[in-house]
Amino acid sequence: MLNYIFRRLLALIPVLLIVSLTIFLLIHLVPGDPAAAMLGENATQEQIDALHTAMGLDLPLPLQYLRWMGRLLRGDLGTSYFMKGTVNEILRDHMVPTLQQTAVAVAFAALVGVPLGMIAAVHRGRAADRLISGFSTVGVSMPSFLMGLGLVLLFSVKLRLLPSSGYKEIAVAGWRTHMRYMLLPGIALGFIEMGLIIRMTRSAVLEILSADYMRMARSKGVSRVRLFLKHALKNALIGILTVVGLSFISCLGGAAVTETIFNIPGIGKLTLNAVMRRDYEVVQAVVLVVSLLNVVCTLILDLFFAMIDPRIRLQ
Amino acid sequence: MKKILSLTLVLTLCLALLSGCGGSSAASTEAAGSDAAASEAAAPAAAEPKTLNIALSGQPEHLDVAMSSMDIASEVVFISVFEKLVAFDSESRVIPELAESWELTDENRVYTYHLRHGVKFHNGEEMKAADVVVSMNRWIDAAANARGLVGDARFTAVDDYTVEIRLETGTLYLNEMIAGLGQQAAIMPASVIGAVGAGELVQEYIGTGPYFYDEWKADQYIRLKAFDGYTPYGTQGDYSGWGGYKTAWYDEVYFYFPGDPGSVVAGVQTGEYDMCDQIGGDQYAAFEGDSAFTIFSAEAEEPMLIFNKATGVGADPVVRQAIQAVINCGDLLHAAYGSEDLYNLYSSYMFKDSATWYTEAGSDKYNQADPEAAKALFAQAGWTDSNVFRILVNNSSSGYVAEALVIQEELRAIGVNCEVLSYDSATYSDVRNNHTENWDAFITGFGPKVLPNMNLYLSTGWPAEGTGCTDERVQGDLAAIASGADLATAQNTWAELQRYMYEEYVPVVKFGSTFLSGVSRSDITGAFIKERLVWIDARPAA
Repeated sequence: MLNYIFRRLLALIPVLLIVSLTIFLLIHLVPGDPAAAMLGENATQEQIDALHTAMGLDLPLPLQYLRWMGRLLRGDLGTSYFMKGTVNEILRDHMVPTLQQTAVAVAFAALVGVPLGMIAAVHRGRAADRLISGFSTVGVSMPSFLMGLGLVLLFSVKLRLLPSSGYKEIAVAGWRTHMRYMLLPGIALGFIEMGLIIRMTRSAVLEILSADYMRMARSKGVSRVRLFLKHALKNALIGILTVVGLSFISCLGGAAVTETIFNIPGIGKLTLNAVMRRDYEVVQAVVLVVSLLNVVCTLILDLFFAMIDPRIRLQ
Repeated sequence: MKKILSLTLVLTLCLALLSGCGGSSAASTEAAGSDAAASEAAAPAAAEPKTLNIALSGQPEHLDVAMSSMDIASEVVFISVFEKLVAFDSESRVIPELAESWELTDENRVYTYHLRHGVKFHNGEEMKAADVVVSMNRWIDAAANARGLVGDARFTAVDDYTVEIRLETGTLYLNEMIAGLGQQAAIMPASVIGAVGAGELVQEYIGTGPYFYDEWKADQYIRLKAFDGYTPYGTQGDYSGWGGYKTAWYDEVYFYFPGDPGSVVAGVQTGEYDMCDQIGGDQYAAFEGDSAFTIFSAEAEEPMLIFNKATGVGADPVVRQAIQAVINCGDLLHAAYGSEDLYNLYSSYMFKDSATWYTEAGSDKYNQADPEAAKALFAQAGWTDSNVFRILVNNSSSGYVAEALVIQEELRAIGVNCEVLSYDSATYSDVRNNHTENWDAFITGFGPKVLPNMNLYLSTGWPAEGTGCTDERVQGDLAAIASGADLATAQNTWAELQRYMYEEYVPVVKFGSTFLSGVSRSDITGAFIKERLVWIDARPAA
C-alpha cells in the first residue's frame, strides 16, 4: 500500500504542472486588468499604466510564470492584489468556511439519506418506499440556489428561527452561533446529495437483500435486525461510502452557489470574486489547491475501500 | 497489523489534508471555540458595544478613495474616516471642514486655506500643512478633473497651519471640486503617503474622521470603530449633507457584502442588517408600505450613451444626431427600472437640484423618439447596410444592458444594424480603454456634479485619449466657465454650450435621471442618500 500511495502522489506532479500552466495562461490571456479594476470606472489610462507597472504586470508572461513557479516551489502561493495578506493566508481563511459548510452538507445528506434509503429498501414497493423515492427525486431535481432561497424564506423571514445569511467564526462566536449560521447553507448544499444517497443506499441494500447468502442466513434463523445490520448494511457500505465520498467532492464544487446566496466567505466566493476582478495569483492558487484536494480526496476514498473490502487490491 | 498500519496511513493523509487546508488556525479555532463558548456564558457581564450593521451592494476593491472614484468605497470611508479641507452641505454649498477658513485672492488665482489646530489623525499625529500639501497634490495628480482645473499648479505650505495654491488662470470653483464626490481630496498623514510610490495605493487607511478603520475580513465585512480623539467641528446637532458637526453614534460600524439582492432584502427584514445602501425596483415592493422600515431615495445617476468620437461610425456627428433622434428615453428607462417612480425624464445635463446650472437649452432634441428624422439623418450620413453600430455595456448592470437592448431594437426597427457587446466588468474596462476601435458607444451613469466641468464625459481624454470631447468649442466654453468671474455669464455660456451639444456635437445621449433608494429599520433615523448612502448621522430614533 505504501508503494501505491507513493506512486499516486508522484503522479500528482505532472498533473499540477499542467494545471498551473493552463490556469496561468487562461487567466492572463482573457481581457481585463487588475489595475483597471482597482482604479474604477473613471480612471485615466495614465493612472492605470502607472499602477500596472507598480504591480509588475508589465513583465513578459513567461517571466511572470517562472517567478510564480519559483515562489510556489518555496511554498509561497503569492500575494493578492486586492486583499491584504498572502494568498496562503487568504486560502486558509476561505477554505475553513467551505470545509465547514461541506462537512455540514455531507453530514446532513448522509444522516438523512442513508436511513431513508434503508427504510425504502426494506419496505420495497410499499407506501413508505414510494414516498421516500418521491422525496429523493425532489432532492435530486432541486437546484441548491432555489432550495437556499426557499429555506431563507421559511426559516429566516417567516419563522425567524435561523439567520438569513452570514458567517460567524467558531473562535469568535462559539459553536452554537456558528452552527446556526451553517445549518441552512449546509442543508441547501447537501439536499441534492441527500437525494443521491437515498437512491444509492436503496439499490445497494436491495441488491444485498436478494443475495443467496442472505436467504441462507434467513433459513438458518438469523434474526431480522442482525441480518440487516451485520450482513446487509456492511456489504452495502462500499456503494454507500462511494457516494458519500463523491458527495464531499461534489459539495466542494457546488459551494460557490450557496456561499453567494448565504454570504459565506468560502473558496467558491473567493474564486468568483477573484476571477471577476482578475486577481491573478488568487485564481491560480485556488485552482491548484482545489485540484490537489480532489486528487487527494479520491486517493483517500480508494484507500478506505481497500480497508473495508479485502477483495479490493490496490495496484 | 497490516490493517492497522494502513488505517494509520489513511488517517495521517486525511489529517495532512485538513491541516494543509485549514492551516494552524484549524486547531487554534477549536481551542478558541471552547473559550468563546465559555465567554458566551459570561457575556452578560460586559456592556455590548453599540453596533450599526450596513449591507452594501458590493465589496470595494480598496479604500484609497483619493486614487479611484469607487462609490462603494466612498460609502464606507467618505466623511467617516477621511475628511477634506471643505465639504458640501445638503444644498451643495461649500462649508469648512479641516480648513476653518479660506481666502481667494489675486483675481481668483490664489486659494489660501487656514487649517484647524489640534486635529488628530487616527495614528495620533497632528494634522499639519505638510500632510495637507502631500494629500492634495496626490489627489490632483490622480484626478483628471482636478488637473484640468488647476493645470500645473500644486499646493504649498505657507506655515504649519496654512496652505495655498497659485493657479495660472483664475477659477471660482476649486472648492466645489474639492468638496465633490468622485476621487476624493482626502487628507491623510504624509507618512502614510510617503510609504508608497507614486501612483500606488496606500496600505494604511488613516484619516481624521469620527471613525477609524479597524478591520477588513475579506469577503465578510469591514469594521470601523469610533475614534476617541475626534473633535467635532461647528455647532452640535448641525449636520447637513456631507459636512458639519459629526458624532460617532455607534461604537462599531460593520459593512457587509451579501452580494445577492435577495439576501440583502432577507437580511434587512430579519434584522441581520440595520440598513442597506441600495435596492432595485424588484426589491422596492418588499419594503414599501411597511412601517417597520424607512425607504430613502434621491436622484443619484444620469445613465447615458457615450459616443466614441475618435474612430468608427460614432465619430460622425450626423450619425450621433441620428441615434439621438431615434431614442425613446421613456421606453428605455422603463425597460431598465420598471416603475416611473424610479426615474425622471428631463434634458438638462446638470441635475435638477443644481439650480445654478440646470438648463433646458436644446430640449427639443431630447427624447425625440422620431424614427423618420433618424432615417433622414442616417441617409445624410451615408449609412449603408454594411455599417454596424456597436454598443459596449457592462453586464454587471442589468439596467444598462436593458437600455442597450432597447436602443438596439429601436435602431433595427429603422433598418440600422446594431450590435450589443455585453461583457463582465474587467473585460468591459479592457475593451473600452484599450480597444477603442471595437466599439462606437458605451453606456454608463454619472452622479450629480456641482460644476459642468466636473462631468468626466466632457473631458478630452476619457475613457481613452481622443475618444472624449476634443471639440474646440466644448473645451473653450468649459474653460471660460471655470475661469469666469461673472456667474450670470458663465450660466449663459453653459446654456448655449448645452444647446450646441444637443443640436450639433452630441457627445452623449442622456436618457434621464434615476433614483437611488436605500432602506433602514424604522427605529434608526438620520440615514439618507446624497449621491450615495450617507450613514454618518444615522442613530437610534428617539
